[in-house]
Amino acid sequence: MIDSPGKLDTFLPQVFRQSLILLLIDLMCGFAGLSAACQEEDTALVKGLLATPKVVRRAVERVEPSIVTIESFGGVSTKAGQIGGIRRQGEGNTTGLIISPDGYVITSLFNFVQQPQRITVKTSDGVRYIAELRGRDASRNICILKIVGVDNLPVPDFLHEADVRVGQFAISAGVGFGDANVAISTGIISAKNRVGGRAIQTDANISPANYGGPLLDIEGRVIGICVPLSPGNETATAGVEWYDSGIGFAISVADNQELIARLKRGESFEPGFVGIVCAYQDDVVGASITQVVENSPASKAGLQVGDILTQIHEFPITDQLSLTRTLARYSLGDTIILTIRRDPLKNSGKDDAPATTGGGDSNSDTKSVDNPEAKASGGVEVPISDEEQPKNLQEPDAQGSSASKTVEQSPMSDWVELKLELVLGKRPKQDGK
Amino acid sequence: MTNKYFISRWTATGFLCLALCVTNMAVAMAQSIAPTDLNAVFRDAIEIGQKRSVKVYGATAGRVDGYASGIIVSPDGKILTMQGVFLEGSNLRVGLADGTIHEAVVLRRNRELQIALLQIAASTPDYFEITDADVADKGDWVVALSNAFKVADGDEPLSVNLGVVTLRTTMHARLTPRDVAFSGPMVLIDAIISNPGAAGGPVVTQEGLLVGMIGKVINSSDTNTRLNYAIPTSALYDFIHDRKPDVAEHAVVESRPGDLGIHLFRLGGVRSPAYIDRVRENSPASEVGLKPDDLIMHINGHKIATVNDYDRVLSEIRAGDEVILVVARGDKVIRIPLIAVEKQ
Repeated sequence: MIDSPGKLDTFLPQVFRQSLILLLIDLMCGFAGLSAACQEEDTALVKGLLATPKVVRRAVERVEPSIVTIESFGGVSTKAGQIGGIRRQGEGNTTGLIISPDGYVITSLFNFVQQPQRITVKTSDGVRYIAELRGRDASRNICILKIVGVDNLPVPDFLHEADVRVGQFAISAGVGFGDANVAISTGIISAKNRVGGRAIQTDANISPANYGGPLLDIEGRVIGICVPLSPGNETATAGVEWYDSGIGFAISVADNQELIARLKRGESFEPGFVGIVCAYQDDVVGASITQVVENSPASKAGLQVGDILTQIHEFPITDQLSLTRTLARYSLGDTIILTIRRDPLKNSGKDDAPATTGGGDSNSDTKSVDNPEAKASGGVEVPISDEEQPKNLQEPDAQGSSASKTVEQSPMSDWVELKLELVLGKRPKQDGK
Repeated sequence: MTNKYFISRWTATGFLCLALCVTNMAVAMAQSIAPTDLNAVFRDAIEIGQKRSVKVYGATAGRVDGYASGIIVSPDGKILTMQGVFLEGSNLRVGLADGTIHEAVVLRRNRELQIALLQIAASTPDYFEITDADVADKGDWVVALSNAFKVADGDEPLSVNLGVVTLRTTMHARLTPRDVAFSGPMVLIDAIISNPGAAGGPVVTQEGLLVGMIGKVINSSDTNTRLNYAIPTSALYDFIHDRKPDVAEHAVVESRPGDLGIHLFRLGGVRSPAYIDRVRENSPASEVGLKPDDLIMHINGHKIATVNDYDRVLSEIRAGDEVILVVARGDKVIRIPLIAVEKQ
């Protein structure tokens, strides 16, 4: 720009511009860069750390109106201390969270292990309502209560698991210490996609004091519902032994909307059981089935050891973990479609169809009495209902009948792709537990 | 002309430059006052806590540990700790932060709070000034120091845990002659401090102010979990100054046991809820219209989860007392006041 001498209106803006540049340089040096940089950053961090309690309280205040106190009356009698080696539930009130203005409350199934005859819900404004226990999901340890005569309850904001980051602040809240005041604990998100993809993990204290209560982010949005969980054990008290240990779990509400809608309607879910063990195999797309439990939905559907399981519905399976995770999406009574690849040579050997591995599997000894007829018809037992009869089995039968018995395998490229349908069954009772 | 203006421009900005320098210096000075070392945020609190805490050693009984922690509360060697078997023997000793060991005697005890005041024959400038103010709110950072599991040997500093205040509440555990529990105010914190030997240690804020003293290992009957808590300073203050808390002594009143005229439905073997089976005619219950199948949920604010709870709460009611019942009838919750009459 060219100076226009003698004109004040151009002189001042130029001084201003130069000052601005100086100011910027000064800001860069003094506040973000050079000598004071580290000190500045540390101060901000320290200030942030010391401000956390205030922010935490604000987050909790945001959700407090949606936290309810659950009271239980009556129930099965228990000796003090433990039930069958598992910690019993305390005598105190428990926590729930309002999820709809018209009176649906989500909480943990743990809060009703003693099967109370009556349940009440006390909202944060102190009003007590008789509550009805609707659907339960045993594998996530959550359930839904319904109270009537309300239409304007405060509902908190819910976060999707995808928007939660490992390492971010987490706050657990509950009223289980017998005080209407909400008790809190702070920590971080430790992991996502835990316990078969069902839970978010935190190191904030999770215990009977907040089972059924919310796990919050620093802005007071609900990350999930605090529950006891234990991988591989789906009883309502499994995982309670880890209370306050730094290993705690929460179930996302936002990501389970479909399930919650069904729970609201009173449907209950138990984990489903397929009856296979599979393993990762090199150079193969899919997981190799290494065990088929006798008399299980898998054996009834004609799954065989050596089959490669590639998909359940649209979800790819690569190993046992991905199988467990995928199955966690379904529950007892659901029909699932498995995509497998099978060596065409294998189907010939009807007599030694390896549908029964029995032996090493502790699950198989519950009710399996070998039915010779079933064995003769390809290891497929007489199904409980006709619909469960795997029709697809007929096809490969016809194809493979001419091949001779052999231990040799066909090249993978020759393997046939099959789609098997099966209905998830009840998990066999485990011995000694 | 251009040149003249040029100089004036730079003169003006020069002044500004000077002004900024002054501001910068001021900012830098302000920063040096605030804590700037991130790793030292809790350093002062811990230093204060260590100097003013002690290790307590005493008798061991069976598998019960003979050690605890304590806090110094006066310059003349008064020490607060929790009660335990270690107080019972003759060989009670206190280890100060400098590693010196001193013989101690028990001056006083409080049963409800399970605390004890000890005296050693040593003076120290490092002690907690106990006030009757409540320090720290829910969510505030706290540092707990203790000799949990006797990890700190000799003159080693105590173990330190960081957490936040979970809740300020009051625990009404029932005290029985045999099973001495705890009854009083508490500050629950989320650091795991419910461990052998931790009792008696201080819980302090980031600034080093005393929040309370770590309590004995107890289980909450509400949650059936161990509680991580401290007895708040205000309660310690009352104890030290021998001020009785406002808990009414169980006065021997010349009144008769009360009755409401309610018979509950009772089944053996289960935790029966308190359903009314029948209501005696011309009784307080019949007058207010209580009916069979009404479920008694609360009496005077006590939750009645089972018939046992009903029996326990009713046993404390005297003839003439006003009683507030909260009753479930169908899906309605109703609140019914009535006056107890003398038990027949």
